[in-house]
Amino acid sequence: MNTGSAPISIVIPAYGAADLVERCLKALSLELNARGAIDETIVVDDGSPNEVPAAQGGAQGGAQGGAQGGAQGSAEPGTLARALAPAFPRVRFVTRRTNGGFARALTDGIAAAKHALVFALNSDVVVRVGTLAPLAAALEDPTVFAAVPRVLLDGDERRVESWVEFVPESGRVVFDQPCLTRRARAPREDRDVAFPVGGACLLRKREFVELGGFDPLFEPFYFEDADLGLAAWRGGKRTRLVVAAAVEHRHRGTISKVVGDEATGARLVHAAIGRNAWLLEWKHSTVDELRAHVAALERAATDAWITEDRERLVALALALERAEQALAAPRPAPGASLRDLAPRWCDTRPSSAG
Amino acid sequence: MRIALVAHGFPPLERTGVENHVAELAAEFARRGHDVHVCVPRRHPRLAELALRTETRAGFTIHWLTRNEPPRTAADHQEPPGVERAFAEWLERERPDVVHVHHVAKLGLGVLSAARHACVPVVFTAHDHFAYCHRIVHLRPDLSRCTSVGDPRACARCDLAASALNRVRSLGDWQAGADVERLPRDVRERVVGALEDDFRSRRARALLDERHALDARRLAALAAVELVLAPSRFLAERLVHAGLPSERVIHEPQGCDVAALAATEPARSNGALRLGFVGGLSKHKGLHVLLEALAGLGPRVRLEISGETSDAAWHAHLRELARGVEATFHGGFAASERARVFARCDVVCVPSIWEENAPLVVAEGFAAGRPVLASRLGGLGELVRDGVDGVLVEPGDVGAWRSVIAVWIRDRAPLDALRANVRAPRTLAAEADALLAHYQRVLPAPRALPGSLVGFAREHAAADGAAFDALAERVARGLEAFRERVGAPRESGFAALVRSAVARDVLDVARDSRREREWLATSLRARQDASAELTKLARAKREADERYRAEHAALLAERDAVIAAKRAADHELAELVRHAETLKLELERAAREHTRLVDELATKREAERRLQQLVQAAVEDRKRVGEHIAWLERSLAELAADLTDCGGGAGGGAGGVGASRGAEPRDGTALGSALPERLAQARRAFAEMRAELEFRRAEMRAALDDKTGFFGKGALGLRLERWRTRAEERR
Repeated sequence: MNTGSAPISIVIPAYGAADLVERCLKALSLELNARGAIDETIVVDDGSPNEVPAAQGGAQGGAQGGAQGGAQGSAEPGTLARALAPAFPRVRFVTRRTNGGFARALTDGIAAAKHALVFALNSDVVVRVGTLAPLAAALEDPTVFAAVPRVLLDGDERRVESWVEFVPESGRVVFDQPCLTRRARAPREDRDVAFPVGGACLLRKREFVELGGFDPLFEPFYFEDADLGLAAWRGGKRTRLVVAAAVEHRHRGTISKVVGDEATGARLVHAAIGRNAWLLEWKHSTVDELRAHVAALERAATDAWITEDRERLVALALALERAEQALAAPRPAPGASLRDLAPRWCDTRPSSAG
Repeated sequence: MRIALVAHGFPPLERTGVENHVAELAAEFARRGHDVHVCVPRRHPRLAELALRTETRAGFTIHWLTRNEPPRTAADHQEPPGVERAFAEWLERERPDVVHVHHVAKLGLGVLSAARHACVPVVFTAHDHFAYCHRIVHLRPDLSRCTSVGDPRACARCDLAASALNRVRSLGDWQAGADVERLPRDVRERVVGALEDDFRSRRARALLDERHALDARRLAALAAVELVLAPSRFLAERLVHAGLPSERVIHEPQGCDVAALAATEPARSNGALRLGFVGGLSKHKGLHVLLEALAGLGPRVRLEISGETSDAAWHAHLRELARGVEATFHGGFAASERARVFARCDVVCVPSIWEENAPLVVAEGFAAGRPVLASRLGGLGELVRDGVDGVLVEPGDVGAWRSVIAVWIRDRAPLDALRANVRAPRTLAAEADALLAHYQRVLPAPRALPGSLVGFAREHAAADGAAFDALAERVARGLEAFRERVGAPRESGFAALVRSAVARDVLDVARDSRREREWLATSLRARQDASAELTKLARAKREADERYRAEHAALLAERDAVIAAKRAADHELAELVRHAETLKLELERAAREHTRLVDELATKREAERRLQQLVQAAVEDRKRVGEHIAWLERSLAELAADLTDCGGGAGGGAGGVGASRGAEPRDGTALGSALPERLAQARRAFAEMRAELEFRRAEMRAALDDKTGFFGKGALGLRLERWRTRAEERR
């Protein structure tokens, strides 16, 4: 019987926003206390700026972890460590000297993790009590590469962000979140999904390292987790959505805050998403698929040009400028491309909730 | 740098100072390697409203925005509908680093707000009084100079007066104002009255409120731009006085193409004096003052007029004024012809009646080596050094203008002296240098980003900040490389598309179609809304009709019920009337009965009173009778005693014979003979008296026992009758 009692290293990459991290740690401490202090918590300070205010007060006793507090990767404690360590003495802080982005910070955190199971967690995600054990239990199945909880957008039970899939559309394979885009009914049973969302997923440290971690092709953000999930899928592993586990994604537009204004931040984010969607598709397509794909590219470019859709054209321009890196990656074997994966989701697509 | 220039017109369609200057600046910037885009409105009836067409000229691109629809309201005039969005879309496509607005006429304030929303810094050059005068020239409709700055009451009065001018068709461009002396009397009075309006009427108050709001909005829009350039110190001070932030208002003189004008043929020092008027023939430019001043000066002075106007009525008036003067109308000219234009004159005249800012014609005249004769007004005093390189004259003072010209006609030496002092004005290159420095100043500072975002943000900015055509070209190149990389056929439809001029025209048409579709969709929505409203109204009408019918039927029923009720009420009323009459009769009868009863009561009371009197009398009678009886008894006793004494004995009782007894002699003889008779009489009398006494006792007893019966008429009468009879009998 699966118990999910294996110890877990929780890794939280963060850039500034001590208030978010504090909220995240407070919620997490409840879960860790319930599990009996077998896990560890690592906050990776991704080169936060200095003007992070100190935390007003942590949870009683702080988040439970297996190692003593302190900074790693830097002789001096980072900004977040200075702000949060007094309130969360059992949390380990790994400080990066320079900002490297989510993927690199998470990779550093995983490298510092002591346990075989690693739970990647965004700082704007709040863990509900009882989340980790079902995820750990799911990973007791060796065919499962990663286990993801129901990531509920703003705590809404109907909006499950972690149910992700790829679907063919107009000669392309596009990313889809059925609960958000098609108002599909939230899953009531565990199911396979296309990849583990980086914001909240449990995976094995060893497999993460063996797969090479996150591909810098997708920096600064978005779709690095999809790429990792597809790489695992190509190796015969799958990602499991565990409905018994749930976290709340309290979206705060952190990138927009960092960039300056909301509009600019949104443009930047959309450009990254659009670009990386193309790169992901190109990286996981066979040569023949790529040749056939050129027509779709032409059509997409022409559509964007005629409708004067600057955003789409910008994403395409950025992707094309990085196409060489995507195309230089090893081609998937026949039957293991993104296009091969996509029909699986179509076959199992749930009916709309109406 | 990608620079967007915005103006209200552009050569060759518009060929006056500002438009020509913007064209020169665009060419100058382009010559320096900047990517220059000019957005200007134009009228093009064959194109849809707000349709955009591009034209490449002298290294820069002109974007003609079609503006065919005339403004219908003051608000439309200030912010024409749709322009803001069209300009925003244009900014989205062209992505300039800075927008330099030279005028917003015909485009409206929307260009400023669109740029602000797109986060593109704006530099605004104030070429006139637009910031605080919606009429731009700061002249009132009677062509007098306005003395207020930013007073909405003064501005609203101008609106009222201008609307009065609208009644005179022959005025042509009536909005520019008119010489009131030339107006029909009723219009003149109306204009004069409007300029002194006290806003008591509802219309005037509404207009004042609207003007207040529009002026405030205009000033706020201008105050929000990053930098306001004023070509003259005079205007810079005015702008600050009007409310623009002083730290954003900068005096920045304009330059001109000095090199092109330096080659102008030198002025003459002999022959007829040639005056030159160069510029638009608008009313505020004061050409009419100059023409009037020249009247009567003869053929030794000529006026060369180079310029044009769209106001045919005013043009005809000027020609009328020029009839007795040596004047030639040369019409408009291209910027390239300026040297030839200035070569025609020996002195440049600027007889403006409005407060000029910094008319380029002065700088150009100096560049051509001509002294300037100008009005002492506005910024002209900053350009013309009075008595050094020109002469300043009171504006509108025909006599003053005439006397200066007359002196020069007689003696050209002063003019030659002025000409010798003329200095080359500021060059266009110098102005361009200053403007580029200003543009750099207003560019937003780059924001510090986290290290992980710097590279991507830079890449993104390069792509997203590029003009749309450049971006498309980038994608086309990337697509070609991608094709090659994956071994796909080389021909790229997209690359061919974006590099085709025809395709770009198609894109223009597609954009027009899109805009038209949006317009149609908007219209359709409006119609659907109207239709829905009509349907709603029809349904409401149907429901109202049904309600009306139901109410009508109810009312009819109610009416019938009311009629029936009325009839019943009438009937009842008649009954009541009848009953009332009966009651009235009964009342009268009752009244009569009451009177009778009152009378009877009085009678009864009288009878009772009389009865009381009778009773009293009877009591007294009884008392007397008692006394009398007692006397009689005593008499009888005495009589009996006497009789006894007399031997006769006394067989009878007492009798009332005292009186006779007293009168009778007490002689025994006589007494003895009469005594039996007298005794018998006494006895009879005694018996009668006794009977009477008994009767009265009985009567009194009966009366006391049966008072009611006693008071009954019959009984009373009977008793009275009986008493009367009894009294008679007694008598």
